[in-house]
Amino acid sequence: MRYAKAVTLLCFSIIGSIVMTGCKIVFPSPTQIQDIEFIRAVGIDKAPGDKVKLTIATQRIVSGGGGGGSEQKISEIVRSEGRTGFEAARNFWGYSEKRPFFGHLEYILIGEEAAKDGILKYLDFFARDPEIRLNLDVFVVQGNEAGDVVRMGNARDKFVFDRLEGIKKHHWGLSMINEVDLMEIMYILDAEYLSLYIPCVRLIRKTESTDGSSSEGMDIELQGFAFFESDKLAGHIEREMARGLNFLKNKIKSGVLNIPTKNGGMVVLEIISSSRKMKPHLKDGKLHIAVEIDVSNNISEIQGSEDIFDEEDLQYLETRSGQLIKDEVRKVIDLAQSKKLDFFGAGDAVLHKFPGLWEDVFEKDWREIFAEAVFEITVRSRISRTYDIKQPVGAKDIK
Amino acid sequence: MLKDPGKDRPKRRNRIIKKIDTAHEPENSMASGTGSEEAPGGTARTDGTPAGQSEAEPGLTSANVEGLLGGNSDIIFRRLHINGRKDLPVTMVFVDGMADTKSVDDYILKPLIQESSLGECSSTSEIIERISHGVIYHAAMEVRRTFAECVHDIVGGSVALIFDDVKTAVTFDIKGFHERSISEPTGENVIKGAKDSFVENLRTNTASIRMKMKNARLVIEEMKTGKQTATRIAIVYIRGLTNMRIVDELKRRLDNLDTDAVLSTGIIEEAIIDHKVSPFPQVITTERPDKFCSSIVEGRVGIIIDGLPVSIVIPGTFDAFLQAPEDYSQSFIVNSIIRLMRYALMFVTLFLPGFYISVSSFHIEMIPTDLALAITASKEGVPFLTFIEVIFMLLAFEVLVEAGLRLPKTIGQAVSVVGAVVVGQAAVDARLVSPAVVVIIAITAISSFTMPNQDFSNALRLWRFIFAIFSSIIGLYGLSIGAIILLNHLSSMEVFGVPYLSPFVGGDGKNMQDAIFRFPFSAQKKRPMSLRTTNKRRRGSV
Repeated sequence: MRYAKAVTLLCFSIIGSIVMTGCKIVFPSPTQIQDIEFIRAVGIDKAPGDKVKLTIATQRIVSGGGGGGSEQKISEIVRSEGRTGFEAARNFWGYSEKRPFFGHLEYILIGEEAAKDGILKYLDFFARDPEIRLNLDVFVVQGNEAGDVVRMGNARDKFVFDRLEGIKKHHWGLSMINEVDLMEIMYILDAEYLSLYIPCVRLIRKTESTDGSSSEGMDIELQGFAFFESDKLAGHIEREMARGLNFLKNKIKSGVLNIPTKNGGMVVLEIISSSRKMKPHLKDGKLHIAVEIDVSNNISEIQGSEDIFDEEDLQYLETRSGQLIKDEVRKVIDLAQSKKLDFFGAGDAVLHKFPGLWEDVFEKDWREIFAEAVFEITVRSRISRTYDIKQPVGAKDIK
Repeated sequence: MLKDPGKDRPKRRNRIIKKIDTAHEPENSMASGTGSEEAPGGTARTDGTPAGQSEAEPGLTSANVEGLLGGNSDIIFRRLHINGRKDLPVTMVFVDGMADTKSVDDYILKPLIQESSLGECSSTSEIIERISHGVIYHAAMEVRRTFAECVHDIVGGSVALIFDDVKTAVTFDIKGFHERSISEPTGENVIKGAKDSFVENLRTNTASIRMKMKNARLVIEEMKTGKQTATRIAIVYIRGLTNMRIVDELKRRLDNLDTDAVLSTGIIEEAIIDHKVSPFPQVITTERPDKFCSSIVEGRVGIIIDGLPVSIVIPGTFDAFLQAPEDYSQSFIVNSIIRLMRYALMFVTLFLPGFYISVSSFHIEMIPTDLALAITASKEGVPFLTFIEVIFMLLAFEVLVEAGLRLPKTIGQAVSVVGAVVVGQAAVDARLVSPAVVVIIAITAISSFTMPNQDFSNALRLWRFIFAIFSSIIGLYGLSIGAIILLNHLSSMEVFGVPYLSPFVGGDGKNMQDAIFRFPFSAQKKRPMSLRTTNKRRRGSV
């Protein structure tokens, strides 16, 4: 009797937990892993007639046949058009016996025309579809169609998604890029006071290849950032300025600072860490925002035989590097203010500092206030460690 | 009818309990038990009336005994005349092979024929008097006045001298059965640790325990079960330490056991466990006296069954099945890591096939892209669903294990080589299964071999299939439902009033010194709380 009761309860709870999930299909049909086509990158373009053109790069591993040991990765490029993104995506279904699967989509490339047209209508499908990851990275293509980048960036052994992966990793070495994922884009587009920025790539002619075999073909190169007014492309930040934006976004991982010494040599500083604080305050009825950047560097290279390991020289290097960073940051702020686009998130700092005032005053016309705001930049650059404190070869007074 | 002399304590149904409180008890405590009211063949459950009063009881004469046992080729009847006197006849009965013939010759037959003091006696009762006072020199001697007791002693291996005129028998326990000597444990080997194991003889086993625990409070009680076998079962615990409720409950359950034969631990195990429909073991079975003793010291109760080289310890809790005997001879740091790994592997062996089915059929986006591509490539050309593949491989593995167990050791190895290497490789080459599934099942199988307890491992084997089926229906969601059902099952189980999942449930997590990690012995201050021992602190005096 006790068991009967327990079994009944158990049955009810199992049935209940299956049926009451809100899923219309109680038992979803399983998809076998070998029956799907992995889509790794997709390019979104605007097609004539207000249509959407999608170009996908798929990937699969095929065994080379015979021996069984030689397995090869291959990638295919497929194009499809549709009135909407979803329709275009569904049009892929016909091309292969396998089901196109967006669950492993890692990169979205948006063509220039589509970006100018407004990216929201193109991205909505990707943000809405449950299959697609929200942490995929989005790039904007400068000067070309995204489809061209996907198609031409795909070499026989190095696919477009591998190239984009490499570009993404720039971040760790040079901090000239900062990945922006789909979730962040949706968040920024939601917050009216913030402006969107997306890393930007372009197609270049591959003039020389490392193995020397073919110098033909195209390669993908990081261009910098593209920034948007609402969801429409508004301009570009060049590669050289891109690091300034990352200083402002507090997303510096590492980087290289080339500092000329007093005597014409060159010292290379490697950025170890950087932290940025934005402190808004009100002065004479005007919004001032103090940007404090704290950078810590290492000496990685010394060109010339000058001995710089004394307090005076190091202090000089610190000042110069601070100035360099300050200039980079200033350029970005000036650009942002001239366009009245707050793409580095000054609004967030103000919102958190003055929540009441924000609601009453700033939020309504933040773009104007932002353009008028005074940014006070202070950079504290330190050479805290110097690796080997070793005089360069040929230094006059070797201690 | 005659009654046993000095038998004035109240009889407790059919149970024979002999308490031995010191280590110096004579070897044959059983045969010299205070009384057996069982009919020959052992009515394990009588209606409570002493057998001596039963109507069908024949008189204790050699003719009656011969009538019952006479047809047996191995039972020897000798009619003798004490000291050559024809007026003092006696019948000697014993089972050839069970009694030590040389001892019978030297210590019973010889004095019986040669001892002149017996010849001076005028009556049989005087002879019995003298024998019981030591004319025949053997320590374990019993005067029997009922037919049943006498026959029971004979079939138990004793030599009986039956005096027909006074309907009395004197029995001597001279067992001489050839038993296996104590050898290394076969199933639970350790590198650093005792190399002895239990044997088939109950008395040798109890002696092994006494050898390890020279404790006056160690109690070894005995009872008999089995209508046809009358198997002796010893209950072992420490007075003043063990929770007597567990002991009493165990006795009650053993009392209620109604069976023909006790020839395996299973029958006892099934009789005493609470949840008979659970695949999980609820008693610990061990062949190692040291493990047995450490469990007793911890506050558990042990059962030894005559004729079986395996002992049972109750209550079996979850953590005990993941403790290996080797654990306690290693550094606690090393051992803690191994223990942690064992817990992790338990989850691996339980969930991995189901998890693989789930992620490769329902949640492909969960797999890292490169791995997903590799799995896809490995599955290229395999016509079966992942679920079918996994179940097929799991079954193949079970078949291999079973085949390896049943065959002799030498052929068993050949089976595993053929099964694993040849068939496995061929199946992969023929695209019947994908290499990924082979790897998954291999990991699952090897993980299951790390489980110290075979019964526990078997339960996991069963649940592994259940999880695989759940996963094949609704993926990870099904796997979670399965896991909840399993957790519910385990947490609703109690063994002798002890929560099965202790020390993970109850006790506010205070009693975890010997669970996932093994703390140093000095930090293990208390005995398992869930056992509710009367002596709570380890090393505490009673």
